[in-house]
Amino acid sequence: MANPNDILSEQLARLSVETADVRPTANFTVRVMAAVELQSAVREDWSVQVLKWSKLGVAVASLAAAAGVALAWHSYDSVDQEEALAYGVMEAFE
Amino acid sequence: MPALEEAAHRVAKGDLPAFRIIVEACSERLVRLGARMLGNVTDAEDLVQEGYLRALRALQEQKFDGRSSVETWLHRIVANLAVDQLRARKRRAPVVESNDEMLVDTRANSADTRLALRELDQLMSCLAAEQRVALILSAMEGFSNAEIAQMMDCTEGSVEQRLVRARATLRQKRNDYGQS
Repeated sequence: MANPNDILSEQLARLSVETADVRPTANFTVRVMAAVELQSAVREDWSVQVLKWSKLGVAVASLAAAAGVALAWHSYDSVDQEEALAYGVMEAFE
Repeated sequence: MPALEEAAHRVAKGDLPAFRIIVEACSERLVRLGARMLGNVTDAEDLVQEGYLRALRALQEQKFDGRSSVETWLHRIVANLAVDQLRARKRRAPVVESNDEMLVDTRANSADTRLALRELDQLMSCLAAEQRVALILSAMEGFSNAEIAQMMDCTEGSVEQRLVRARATLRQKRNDYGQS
């Protein structure tokens, strides 16, 4: 009885020979390059979008920080004014 | 610097048309590999195209370190994609190659070649995806166990195990067929 390993090896060797001529279809390179260009275009667009939104994010954060500082200063200023008013009233009564 | 590595270097620097050099040099071998793994040229071309797009992304993001050759690296990408696709196939119902797909392929590949691919697909259909890919890389593409280990991102021991199990499964299938 033939060795099953030999039979399998023979079959694989035969199929290897019979599939050695496999070729891509004629327009394969053209098709791939079209897909490559499309992917690159989408990727560039995406990078531009990310940059735009990140700049916007930085601008919004800066404005918020500035608004926060202004608010804090106004609150401090108000307290200062209230204290000055209180002292002024007290001095007026002394 | 060899031509493909030079082209990869240029692509990484933003020279997109240089990618065509890689595609023209590697497609025949990669499509043949994909066809042997998946059983037909149509699926193989889709697979290899996806492999090229991943390779391009990696080059543009400077993720190709040049430790292996460009061709070996592409084989690795295609082999791993084939494993994923074979696993997905097992989860789906079988799809018969349509007449349209066969018509597109007739000019590039003879009927005998397509029949041989179909026979190979049927022979390997009982194997786990990793075993199938390893056996094709070894028995049909002529890669060493060390090269296959690098492509499939596993140890040489794992490759040997996959090959032994694949052959044992195919022998068993032949015995079962002989007895039925």
